[in-house]
Parts: sequence; C-alpha cells; structure tokens
Amino acid sequence: MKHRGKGIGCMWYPIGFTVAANPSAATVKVNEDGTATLLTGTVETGQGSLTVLGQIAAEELGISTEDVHVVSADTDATPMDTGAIASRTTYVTGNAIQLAAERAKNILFEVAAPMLGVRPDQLEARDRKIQVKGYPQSALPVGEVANHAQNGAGTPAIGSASYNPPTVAMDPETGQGKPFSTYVYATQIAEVEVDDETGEVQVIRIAAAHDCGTAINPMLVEGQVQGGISMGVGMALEEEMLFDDQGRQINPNLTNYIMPTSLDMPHIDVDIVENFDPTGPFGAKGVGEPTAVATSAAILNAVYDAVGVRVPNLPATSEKVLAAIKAKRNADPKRVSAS
Amino acid sequence: MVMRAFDLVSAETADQAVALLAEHGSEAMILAGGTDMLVDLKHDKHRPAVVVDISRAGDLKGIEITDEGLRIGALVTHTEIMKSPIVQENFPAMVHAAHTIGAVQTRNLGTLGGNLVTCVPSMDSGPTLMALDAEVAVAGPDGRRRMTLDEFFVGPRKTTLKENELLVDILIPKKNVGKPVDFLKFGLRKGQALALVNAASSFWVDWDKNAFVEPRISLGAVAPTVIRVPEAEAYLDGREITPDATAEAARLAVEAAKPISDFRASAEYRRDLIAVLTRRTLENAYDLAKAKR
Repeated sequence: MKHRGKGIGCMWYPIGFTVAANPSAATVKVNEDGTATLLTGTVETGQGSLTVLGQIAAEELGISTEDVHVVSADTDATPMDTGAIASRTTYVTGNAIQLAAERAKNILFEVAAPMLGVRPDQLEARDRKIQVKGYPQSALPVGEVANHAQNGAGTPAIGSASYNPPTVAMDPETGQGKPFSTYVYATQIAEVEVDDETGEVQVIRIAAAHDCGTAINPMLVEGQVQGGISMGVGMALEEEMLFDDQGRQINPNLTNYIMPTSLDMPHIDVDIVENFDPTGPFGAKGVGEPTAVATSAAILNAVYDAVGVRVPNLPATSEKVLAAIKAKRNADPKRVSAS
Repeated sequence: MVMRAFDLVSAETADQAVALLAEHGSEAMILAGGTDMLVDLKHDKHRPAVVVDISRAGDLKGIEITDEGLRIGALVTHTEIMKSPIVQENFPAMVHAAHTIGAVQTRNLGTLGGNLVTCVPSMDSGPTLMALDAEVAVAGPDGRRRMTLDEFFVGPRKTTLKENELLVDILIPKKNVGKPVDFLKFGLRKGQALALVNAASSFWVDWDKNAFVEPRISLGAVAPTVIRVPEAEAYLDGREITPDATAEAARLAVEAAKPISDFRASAEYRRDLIAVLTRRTLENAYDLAKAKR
C-alpha cells in the first residue's frame, strides 16, 4: 500500500566567507563601439554565472547584456578569483565587477561632462547612453564617449577592482566575530509517496522558497534551485559511495553510483523571495549550494509523515526504509501502518 | 580499454550471416544493436578478428502474427516493441518491459535478440517472454532449431547458442497470443536502472470456477538466469483465484529463488521484493484478464 506524506526543511546558508582571504578581481573596459569587455578569473560550471556577471557589468554601464564580452578563467590573462566555490560568485565576484565597471563608467562621465556641459556627478549611464540625470534629451552614445575617451581625452575607459568580504576576526575567548558577509534563507516542502511493501519513496512534488537577495536572472535562479533539488533527492534517497575493506570504491561508475534521472525528479515549484541586500551587487546574494541543503530534510520528514519511520543514515534507500517500516511493525504490531 | 582493429563483414540475410560465421568461426563476433557488444570490445577478453554486422539483415526484422504465433525478429529494437500496435494490443506488459530497459538511446539501438543472447540474469525482456512460453529459433550450419527460453538460458552471459549459430527470431506460440500477462521491475531508481528483481506472471482464467489455468511465473535477477517457478505454477494450476492463493504462490517463488547479496541490495531485501512483485504481477494479470473478458 502507498502512503502520502509531506515534510518541511528549512535552512540558512552563509555567503562570502571572511575567515580567510576571499578576493575576486575584475577588469572592465569600454570599447569604442559601445560594447564592453569583462575579464574575470572565475569559471562557469554550467550554472550560468558568466551570464549573471555580464548582466552586472552591463547594468552598471547602462548597456545591454549582449554588449558585454566576458573573458573568463584564463590564469594567464584574467584577474585572480578565489573560484566558483562556497556560493560566492554572484556576491563576491559580482561586487568586484560592479566596482570595476563603476570605475570605467566614472571615466566616461569625466569625458562626457564637458561634451554635455554638465558636471560628472550630474550624469547617468542608461540605454547605451551617457545622459544628464532628469534630462535624457541631453545624451551621448556610450561608444562615442568611449571613443573620445581613448582618442580625444587620452583617458581610455577601463576599470579594475577587487573585492574581499570585510573581515571581523573571531574573539578567541568568546568565539564571537563575523565569519560571513551575509546569509540566505530557504524553506522547501516535499510531498512523497511511500510503498510500505517495498520501501520505495517517490518524491511527487517539491515547493522551494529561496531568498537570494536580488534575483539578477530569475530563470537562472530557478535552474539553480531545480539542479540543487536533484542533488538533494540523490542525497536523500540514492547517492552513496561504497567501499570495500581495502578502501577501494565499489561503485565508481555512473552505472552503479546511483543518482537521480529525470524520471526520478518531482514536480518543482520555485518561489523566489527577493530580499535586497545592501552589501551585494544590485542587492544580490547567492543561491548555488543553498538549493541542495533543505531537500533531504524535507523528504525525510515527509517519509516520517507518510509511514512514521525515521531513517537516520542517508541515503534512505528503499531497503533501509522497508527495514525501518518492518522494525516499527514488530515494535507495534497493532498499528500496521502509521498515520 | 581500447578497441582493437578488426575486419567488418556485413550480412544481408540470416543465411549469409550463418555462412560468414562458418567461414570465420571462433574469430568472429556478431554485431546487432551493439549496446552490449561495443562495450565488450573495449575489454581484452573480446578481441575478435572479424565482426559480422547483421544489422542490415532484413529477414531478422519485423513483428508479425503468423500461423505459429507472434513472431518477433531478433533485430527488433526495444523501441520498435514499444511502438508496435500488435504488441500494444496483445501484450502491454512487453511494452512496459521494453520501456524499463536502459535509456532512450539504448532502446533505439538495442535489440530483443541481443538482450536474450547477452543473457544477463537481470535482463528485462526475459521474464515476460518466459511467462508466455516463448521460443527462440536458432540458425546454424545444420539448419534451424527451436527451443524454449528455459532451454536457451544456461547461466550468466551463457546460452546454448554455439559460436557458429545465430538467434533468428522469437516466437510466442499462437495459443498464448493475448494471454493476460504482467511485468514489474524494481530498480534503485526509475530510469537507467538494473533490476534488483523483475517478475512476470501470466495465466488464463476459468471463469466458471474463477480459477488459474496454465499459470506461469517468471523471475529475473534472482538466479543465474531468468527462471520459471514451477512449484508456484503447479500450486496455482486449477486453484481458485484468491488473495491467499497469490500469497502462497509468492511464498513459493521466494523459496525457489536464489538471490545474492551485493552492494545494490541484500538477498533478504530481494526476497521481500520477489514476494511483492510476484503477488502484484498475479493481481495485475488478473485485472487484465477481467478487463479483457
């Protein structure tokens, strides 16, 4: 017989560790055709970070994302970056890129100010133009200003910057300090169906509400959440490295290291809870690893709700779930099934 | 783990393939869908001098109802089985079983004949066919011979097929075309999973007595080959269809099986699954019989 249950998992997760140096550096140059080139040391791992980083540079320069050419992850040519780790890319690398773009933009403002007859602080960058705030009729194309910066003013529009999350050292007596820049929060709810004869757990649906600061690219946030949930489903029910008594892995291939396929995935509802963080680029924090944190707790709580058993050591394979159901039956034979 | 060079020869018919096998003997390996064979070729154990490609042999293809029964060519792919109106109408369980094999790419290339010849104990096409008393036809230098799958399967990756012989087609006997049958597989996940246990049950119903007629129960992944469970079949034959009867058949199936413990699951858990899958396939086949009545 199959039993349905629901469970909740909640989490918070730190973004931008400060216990060790955690810098990102970036260079942004604005080209005479109005495009920009962004140099960053970070690496794209499929999560779409280069799209988000290009968006940050574009937003700061008032140009379009497709105007930004991103050069990344070439240690000979690109500035140092601590890496695509610790869910830090949007926050730490993004901050460095925003600062670098701002410096390049300030050069454009210095160059454009006399051309438009205003002070640099009266200018803004929008719609591929450098324009007077509140008076957009008075404007110059970004490309024209960049060209003049290079060939007229002699101050090419280029900015470099680095960002290292501010550190507050731990007090050795109390352990107090500020180990991370900021935090994100999430809640996931899982609905499962448990077969009480085989122990099979099918995750039917997961609703995931994630705070990520500003969602710079909501579709990529959703993709990250879905990807994290697939890892969480694997952690909860399937994925396990097994070793023989010599310490050699028994299941080193994707044929026998079991992880979820698309058929194992539940329906997922993603709810992005935007929450402006003043320390992040345009208010953004991050969403990478946090997406996988709450899933297994939500699933295992849902299993408990369905059949009344706890499986304390993950993954909760069907064999382990069935063993727990049997143990519960033996302990309490009057209640054949729970709840 | 590197494939060695070999000569590739191609056969347009089963007879040509048999002639090529006679010519090259033990140096030859047969290539059909290649989903198992091309993986094997990367291991030192398999270094054929000649590969006989039979994938273009037209007489090894096709699904048809003949005077003898439902004939399925050895080269029919799992996807073709899933899409065949004849199979869909007569044996939905075969469609389901084919769907549980590998991934889309494997099913598009992998053949029914190849799945049977490779003869791994967990093969997903075996139990349903065995529960329908399916026979295979084998062609060799001395002509053709037919045998049931019980006779064909010998052990893990071992059949009665000789090195100069070729599996030609699979036949479900006429008397069993439309016989209610159900197949269930239990793996560690929904897609691309090896069966921990798979099972198929088939029987006709004597509606006057509401009794099992010619019951067949077949299990995979719990013995050196796909097996039948004659003890459970004998117990059920002629017996009234009741929950107690199916439960006893499931118990007898557990007794007959010899599952192993490995890193995927313990033998104890596999025994639990055998009981559940046997009972559920009997129940589902009964539901199907009622729907067809």
